[in-house]
Amino acid sequence: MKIATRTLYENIINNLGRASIDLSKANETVSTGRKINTASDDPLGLLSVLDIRSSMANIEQVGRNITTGKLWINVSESSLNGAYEFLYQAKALLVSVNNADVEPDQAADTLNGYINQILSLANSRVNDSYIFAGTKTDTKPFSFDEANPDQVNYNGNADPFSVKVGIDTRVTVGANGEEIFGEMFETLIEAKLNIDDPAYDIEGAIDDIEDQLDTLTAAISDVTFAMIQFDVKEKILEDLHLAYEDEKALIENADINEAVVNLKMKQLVYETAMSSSASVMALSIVDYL
Amino acid sequence: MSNSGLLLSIAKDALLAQQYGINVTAQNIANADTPGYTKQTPVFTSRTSISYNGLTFGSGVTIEEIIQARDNYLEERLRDQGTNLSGLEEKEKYLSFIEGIFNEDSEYSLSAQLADFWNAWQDLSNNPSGELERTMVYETSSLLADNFTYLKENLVAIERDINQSIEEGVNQVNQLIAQLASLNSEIINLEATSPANDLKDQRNVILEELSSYIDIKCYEAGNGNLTVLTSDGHILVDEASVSSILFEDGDIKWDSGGGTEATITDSINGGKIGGWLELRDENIATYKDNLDEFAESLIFEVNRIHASGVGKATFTEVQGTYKIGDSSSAVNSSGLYFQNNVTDGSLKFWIYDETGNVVDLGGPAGELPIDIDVDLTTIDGIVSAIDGLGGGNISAEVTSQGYLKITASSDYTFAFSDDTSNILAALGINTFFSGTNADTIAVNSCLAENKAYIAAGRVDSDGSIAAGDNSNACAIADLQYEEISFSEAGTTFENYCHSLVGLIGIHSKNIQDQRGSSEIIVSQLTEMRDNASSVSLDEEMTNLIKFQHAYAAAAKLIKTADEMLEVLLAVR
Repeated sequence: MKIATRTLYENIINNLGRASIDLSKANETVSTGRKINTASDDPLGLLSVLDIRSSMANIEQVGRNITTGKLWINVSESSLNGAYEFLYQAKALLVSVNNADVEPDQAADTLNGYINQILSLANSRVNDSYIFAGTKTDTKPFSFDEANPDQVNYNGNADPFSVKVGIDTRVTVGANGEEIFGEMFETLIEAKLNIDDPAYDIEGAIDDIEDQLDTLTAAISDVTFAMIQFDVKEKILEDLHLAYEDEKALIENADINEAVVNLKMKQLVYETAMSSSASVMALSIVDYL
Repeated sequence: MSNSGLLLSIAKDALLAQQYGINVTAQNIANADTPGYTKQTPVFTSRTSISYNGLTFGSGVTIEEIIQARDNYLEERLRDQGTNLSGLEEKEKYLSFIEGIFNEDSEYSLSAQLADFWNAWQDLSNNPSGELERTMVYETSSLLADNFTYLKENLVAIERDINQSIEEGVNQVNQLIAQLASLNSEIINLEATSPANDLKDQRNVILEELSSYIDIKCYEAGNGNLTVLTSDGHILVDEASVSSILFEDGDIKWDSGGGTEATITDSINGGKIGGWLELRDENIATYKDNLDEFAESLIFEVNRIHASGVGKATFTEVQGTYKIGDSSSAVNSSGLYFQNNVTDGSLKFWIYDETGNVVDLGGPAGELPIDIDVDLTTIDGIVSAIDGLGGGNISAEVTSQGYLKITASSDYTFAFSDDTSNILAALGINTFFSGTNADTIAVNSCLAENKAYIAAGRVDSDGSIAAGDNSNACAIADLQYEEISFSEAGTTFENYCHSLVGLIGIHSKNIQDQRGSSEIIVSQLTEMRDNASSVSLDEEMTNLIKFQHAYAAAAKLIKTADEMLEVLLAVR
């Protein structure tokens, strides 16, 4: 048995080649910090990473949707609270008039002020979108009728604006303004016009306002509930995002200690191969003849 | 014969023989690194002995022949494995290139852009009337469409490269075949008298090169003739006669040279050409098909929903993007690309006057209901139902190029809703994407000009249109969760995309692994072959010393014979 000279040298070339490829791969892992650098490094791992990335992109999007939703809810909440405040004042005013503590014509002016304040709150906007106009977000929902200035018209529709927080799941963040403010304007305008009329049923109006305050309270608690929903959802998504991040890192990222040890090992193998090859190459029978 | 005469003759033989031995050793040393060179060994035999004075003496040495240390079985296995390896190497090279094109590790990857696409629709749903959001939907979708086209173009370019390689490979094979044939005839001539060692080495090298292109079978006959056949038995070389292979219309054909042809594409399973063919006909063909199917489904599914929606503005003019073959035939034989996706159903057509009010067309809320029966309804029928409506302010026609066109005049506009038949998606009316596959996918050009036509909302049941209606944008975004029926199985767009990328990775990894193990087999076989047939300098140097000493000893013999003769001559 013998080794052909060609074989000897070819083995040296092949072995050094293989050792240097291993070394370069180990170096790539250390320097990129990643196990998967091309699809073929770990196709199944890559598939999981792709799925995770899509899920994360989705979570981030829902996060953005929730941010939009919260913005609406915040504006909605403060508008409704403001409206509640003015309506409550209006009720107090009517009670005072009823108790003859306040002059009726003075009260009419104040009522007119409240009407205008509530009207402006009912026309609140988020980024140029009217929040109490249903989905007709580009249309100012409440305005005085052109022919009859003592009438407020609703120009929106009945479908409230909503944001998407999941598959087929939407949270309503806008509102059908007519449901909330429609009767309020009627009652207040009627009160303003008739308050100095002794035949005016002022106690009936106070009862109506009580009902409308309840409507507002209900709307405010809806909004608060939506806010809680968003907060809970946001927290869940945050946790989920973290969990995905961890899982992705586990598949994608190299264990840096292991990678460095591996690199050292490959380096050692390469150096040893070079030194042993060099000493084998130096051997020749010719030197001894 | 005198004793000293015999001695001289033996000595002369020995001198010559050792000299030949040194020559052979010199040839071996000279070719220590020549690929394909097979080590040669002189075969010494002693001459027939002669009888003298009742005694039998040997009469010297002769070199009978110079043999090659060839192991035909190993050569054949090595050739087969070499064929296998060179095919795998080509596949690995191209697959890792394809992997690079489908680079999933970047924000421009198909799956990342698909995610961006769905997200853009959701961003639009958060602000349906926003200009910025509309532009984002348009830009993101254009990038996605461009990426489809880019990937497909690259696959086609690689395919073109491969075809070119095959063509060059075929030329190379024909040249090698011709060289084999001419070596064959030289070898047959020479072998009649003596072994044609070096020519056979040359022929082997060529055979090895030939087998790196295609898988072959070969047989050597006693007279030195080498017959080479394709794997399915078509003769390529026999003695000096050659056939050739041709590359025609993507197929490899065998041509006997005498008018007989056969297609042998499917029987080439190894070598570079085999690798190229498999890449082209299996790998790349599959990736292309998958990409096309993906694009086609995305186009249709998005369009199906988009066509029932309405944008910020209603149409003054709209033209279909899909060509109608025969507008007088029923929808399912109208020649529309998506004609088979149309189902029985209906849609609503709305006309708005100059003040934006619904023009009464007879439906419950003033709409025109259009019923579609795929076996009965014709495009002409739809045209005549619409043409002339709104007091003559709406006109409809099939253009001379074969597209449906609807136009409004006098500030009238129109819109569509509730299409349960998919006819609008098939016609390309109020659609989001145009095109039918990965090459042609693009965002409908009418949206490029007017992004207000991106349908985020829907016409309400009373015909009104609300700027904040995001129902259609949400429905399109929800497509990402829907199971779409693809030819192989039902799955989501995302999974389909990921599987495609994964498939390329798996193919590439498998080939890398196979190439790795094939390489080891080849290097082991090469080692075995070389150890048996190739030159060891240690061995040759030892032989050289051996022959040198024997030569010196033979010279000593001549000197001895000479001295003996002198002694004799000195006797008076």
